[in-house]
Amino acid sequence: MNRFISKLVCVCALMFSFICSAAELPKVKATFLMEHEGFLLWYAEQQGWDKKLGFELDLTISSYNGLALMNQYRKDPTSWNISCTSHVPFIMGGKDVFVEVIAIANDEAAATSVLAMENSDIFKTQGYDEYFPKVYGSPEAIKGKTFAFKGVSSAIYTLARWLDIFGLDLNDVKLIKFPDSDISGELQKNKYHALALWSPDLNDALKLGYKEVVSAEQLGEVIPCTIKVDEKFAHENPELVAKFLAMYFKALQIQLDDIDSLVDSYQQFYRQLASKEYTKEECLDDLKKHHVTSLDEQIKLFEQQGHRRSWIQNLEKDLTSNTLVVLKSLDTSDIQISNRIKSQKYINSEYIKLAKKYFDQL
Amino acid sequence: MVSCLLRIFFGVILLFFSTMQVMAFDLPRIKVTMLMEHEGFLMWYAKKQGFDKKVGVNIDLTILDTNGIDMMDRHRKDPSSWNVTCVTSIPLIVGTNQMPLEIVGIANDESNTTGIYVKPDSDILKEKGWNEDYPDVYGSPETIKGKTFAIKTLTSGAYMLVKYLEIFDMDFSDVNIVDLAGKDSILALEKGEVDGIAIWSPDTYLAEQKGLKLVSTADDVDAEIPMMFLVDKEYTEDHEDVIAKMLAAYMMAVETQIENPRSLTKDYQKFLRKYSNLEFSKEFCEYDILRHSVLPMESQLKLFEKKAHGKSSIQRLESTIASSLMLILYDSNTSDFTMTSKQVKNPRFVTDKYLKQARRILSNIKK
Repeated sequence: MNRFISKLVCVCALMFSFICSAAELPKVKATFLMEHEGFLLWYAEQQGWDKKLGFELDLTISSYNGLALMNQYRKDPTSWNISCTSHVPFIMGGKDVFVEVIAIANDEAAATSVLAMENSDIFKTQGYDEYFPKVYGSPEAIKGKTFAFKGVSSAIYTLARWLDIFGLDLNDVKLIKFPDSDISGELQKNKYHALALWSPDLNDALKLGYKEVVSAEQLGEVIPCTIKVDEKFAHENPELVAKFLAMYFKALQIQLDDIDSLVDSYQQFYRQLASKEYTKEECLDDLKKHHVTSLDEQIKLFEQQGHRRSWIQNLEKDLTSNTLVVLKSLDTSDIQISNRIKSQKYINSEYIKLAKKYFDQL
Repeated sequence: MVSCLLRIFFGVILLFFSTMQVMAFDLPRIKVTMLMEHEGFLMWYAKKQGFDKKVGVNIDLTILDTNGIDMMDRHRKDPSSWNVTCVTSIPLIVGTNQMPLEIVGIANDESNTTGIYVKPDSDILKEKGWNEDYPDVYGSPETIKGKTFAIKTLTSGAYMLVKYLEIFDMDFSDVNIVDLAGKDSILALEKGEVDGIAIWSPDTYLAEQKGLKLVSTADDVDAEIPMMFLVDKEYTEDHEDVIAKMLAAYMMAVETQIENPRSLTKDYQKFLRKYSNLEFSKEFCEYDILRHSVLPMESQLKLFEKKAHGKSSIQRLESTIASSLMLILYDSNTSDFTMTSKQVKNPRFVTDKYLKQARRILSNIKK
């Protein structure tokens, strides 16, 4: 009996210690969008790489746009420690958002497009500008048309860049903001002449009879989604931030090494989290449209040789410059720009370097 | 008989001069207002040499010792004040206020003659080439931070200071800014009221005469400052050939500068004396002419040519300057973005058609 009790005590103690150790794991609160980079992080979590590195990822997948994540932080800076958006919401809505850019999650230029209804007269002209032979549209066909968009985002940036080819800007078209994140539902209820969207909503719209007018990639643009970390959190927890990056880069590396192996999980991600069903082909195609860069390569891109500006600093500077010029005709109270974008001090290359040792452990 | 011959002789002379006058009077006139600086000189020289008459235009030239924003203001108040002017992109972007103007050519590049100056004992001079990509530039984040710079806001001086700070990963929030123009800023620097100034030629001459030291030129920090010929869009409608002829006359002066720049020294000295009432040394005039780069016709046409992303180099440069100016103007503590973006105009009209016409005129003359 005594032996039984002592065994029971031992088991209880063991269980208790498990519970304690799980409870003791430091937490990282991450909010990513319901799209490719959100998937990579979700996949990494599914593999248990956070626990393996000794922390617990508290992941929220959000579905509207990057600006909403900026607004969320402004209201409550503890709502997330780490997030990921394209450049546009950060530049146009980053006021009082004290974050540092620490890595590039992906480039979604091939998955960000302007679309129009198949019978739109926008498709009557192709190659209006000889420098863009595949791009559809003419000033006459575009002027005054209604474009639905998901707020201040890289999609409206793409729309503005496209309009620029025809000597037009956002004032020359009618803009309607999608009311919520259920784009597919909205498109079934209401028909819009044209749209500016990114994947996966882009794929849904294509199924609903819309056709691609132009992608950001065809316009020669890059749309990097960068990982951003709350400055205070990062300075207090540098190793934790590095571990988080290691986990993300592990998933990213699988995309580089064996993209096919991610297809089932990508399908499951959308099924489980968004109740959306995509074929394996669609999933593979979408994965391929999101270009990713390895950890080793990014360490080089973030590195400053001496006091020279790094590749990422120059890229961010150019993106800021383009975003400001292209979106300056956008008149909305959603725009709240921070003085921090005046220089690229918000880029921090320390964490990506630190991540390497943890990445090698996985 | 003699008196009869004399009468005929004077009659012929009179007829000759009156015909000459009528000919000159008949030439189409174009009102050109230029700043009292190098490109203004080249236009003045073109007129002095009669290049305008040679290509069949009468340049009605005004030289003003002022700045680009003032040029814009004059035109806004009285659109007939000039048909053509020449300023940097900055007043064009922030000072046009819906005035339709067309960029038709490049007069010169001021990036070698615009610079940041400090006193000889400034600690900014302690380090050179801090950023290895900019080996000729003095300064370091530690010595620049918190310093006071005098600049005339919304000029190429302000633009170059931003580009200078950028190489140290800094911006206007890291320094203090005082709004002062050329000569006044030199005085303030001498008095020790400010730590640095951003000025352009010919004020740079005054600064150098007073022993102030050059920290960086705009060219050293990749701040291109081309002076653009701007034409009133309304005027362009009926005067295409006149604009092309004016450009052709100017390009003849440009050719002289390219072929034999030193031959212009005396005339440049005369020009500066006439319009500034100051004496500039022959050495400075020669130096200043050599420092101002001018673009031959073919190079200009290349800059106007559409390239990657369907934009010409000129259009891309305008966009870069426009976004820099938005960042200068915008302050999240005091202004809102819509207000700032309304201040900054993207130049929409850029054309090389007059330059191409001017090229034909020049090649016909050479034939």
